[in-house]
Amino acid sequence: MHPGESSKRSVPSALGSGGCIDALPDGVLGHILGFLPAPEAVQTCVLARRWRHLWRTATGLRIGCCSSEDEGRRVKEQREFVDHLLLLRGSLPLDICEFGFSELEDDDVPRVNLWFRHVVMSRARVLSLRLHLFFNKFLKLDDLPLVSQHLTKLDLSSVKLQNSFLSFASCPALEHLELVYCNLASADKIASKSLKHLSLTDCVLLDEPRIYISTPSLVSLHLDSFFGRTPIFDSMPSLVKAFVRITTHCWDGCSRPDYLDCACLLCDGSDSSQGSSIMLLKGLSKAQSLVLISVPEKIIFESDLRWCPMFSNLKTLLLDDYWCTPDDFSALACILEHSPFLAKLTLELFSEGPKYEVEMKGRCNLMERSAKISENLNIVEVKCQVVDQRVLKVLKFLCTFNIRILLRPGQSTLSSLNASQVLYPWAILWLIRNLTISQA
Amino acid sequence: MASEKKVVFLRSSDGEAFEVSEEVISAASVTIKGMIDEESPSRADTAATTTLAIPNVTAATLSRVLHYVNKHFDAAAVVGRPDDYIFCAPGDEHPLARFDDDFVDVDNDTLIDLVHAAEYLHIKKLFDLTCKAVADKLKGRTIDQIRETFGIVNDYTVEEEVEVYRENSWAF
Repeated sequence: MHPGESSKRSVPSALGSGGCIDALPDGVLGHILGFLPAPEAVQTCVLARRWRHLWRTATGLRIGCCSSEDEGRRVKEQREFVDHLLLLRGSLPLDICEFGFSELEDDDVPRVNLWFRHVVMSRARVLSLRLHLFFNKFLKLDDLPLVSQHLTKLDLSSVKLQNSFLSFASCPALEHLELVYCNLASADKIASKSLKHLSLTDCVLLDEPRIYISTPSLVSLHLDSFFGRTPIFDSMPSLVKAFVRITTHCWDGCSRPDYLDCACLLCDGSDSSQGSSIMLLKGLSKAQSLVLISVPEKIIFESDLRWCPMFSNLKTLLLDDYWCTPDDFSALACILEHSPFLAKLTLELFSEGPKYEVEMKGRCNLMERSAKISENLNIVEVKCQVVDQRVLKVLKFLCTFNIRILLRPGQSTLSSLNASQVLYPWAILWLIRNLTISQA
Repeated sequence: MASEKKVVFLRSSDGEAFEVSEEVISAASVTIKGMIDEESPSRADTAATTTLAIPNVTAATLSRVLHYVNKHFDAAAVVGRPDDYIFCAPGDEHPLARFDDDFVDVDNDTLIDLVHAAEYLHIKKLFDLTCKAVADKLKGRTIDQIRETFGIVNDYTVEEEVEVYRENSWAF
């Protein structure tokens, strides 16, 4: 329910309630019950006469996903409970519905589909269906269009989805879509005009053709590892922030070591399915904040960079060592040169965060600023576990843009740098010449 | 004058007046925004500040509510836009999560009063926060413990109680 709905404003209630929950109107109690695990909400029926049917008005249903130690129970165990719950509460409106199941047998699939559609029809605004299944096992949701004027957030995991479902034309209010380990291998398109936030984590994507994602209102994108080939994004003029991590599960890689001269579809840019040879970067070109991470052998970003778009709104950029492969800084140079308003650059090098032993801060030398990069670039952070030869090469490269590294107070000292194993004589000179121990 | 921030005064049920930015409280409370909109034609050409009576809420509760409202709805005080669903930092906590936890870490009386106030003032975020906090106090407790904690009197007859258990045996 929404606050304010049940109060009779003309009749002020007594001051204070004396802590008695019974002083609250039915609608408010229904809202409170909606935050309880569904079985506990129903069990309040025995508290007192007033509570006998209150559970039916709970605005949230949290089924099998409420305790952290138990990530949901088998569908079979929940079947009787959920059938009773949904039938007996009837079509009373819902705000939030969460399902969590750990195990699924084939004959459970139609039942879960039925529950899913029932809660959609109960006008749920937020709907979550999370299954914790064995690897490579998915619940197949019926390939029917999802129809809801109310649904704003949909959160699915270990679910197999197909085209009709993923065309959200009949969900005009849908703004958040979060898919974790979902199988989209038989879907060639995700389309929503209203979607603002899209998160795909460890999803299985279509091989041929690549999945096409048309979400023109998208504000934030989180694409974290996928199995299959890189999706193609249509333009996203409202995009503010994006996170893209390419892992070894991505199928877009070139087996030839000298792939820059390779003529395979990916390398020569003729993989122009959907009329675009640029898969990712073009769609991301309006973002203000980007995180672009990749394992070295996947050449998505590098391939895209040949047609590098101008990142005309980009303010903050986080890159990993993919962009700083020793002795080849062309990718890093290219993206810096195409980001005219970049204000903050972070490089996380040769190690995984979030905690880093060494965090260095630098900035562009105002007097000798390179004409090639953004005039606004005033923060450069370099994070790594140890300042080794590879990191020093990056620092040296940054120097060519007149970016000088300062030590971050409290994070690192010159002695901790010296403690690292490999410091070449020239590098020590460079560091000593350019390091300023911040007194701040 | 136009650059000066408009304020309104809210008078609690026990007569204490609290000053709050009109912009902030309008963003937070649907009820008060409605009151201000009703008032506005008459005060357009007067310099007097508006005082709104909030007959359902005591001073103690209202001051807590305004503390919450100033934290959550004052654009100048809020870093970034906390309502945004930020994918890029999955591990990061909502910047106000700690504040919210502390805010509802109060005794039952205070909490129920806050639910009342949030409901009456129609502040959706505060209403959800406080209702969830009440639910957290119910969670994992036996029926007897819930009755005791929240002063619920069991008015079922023994026969009725047996009947209710039977009726909902699927949930026990």
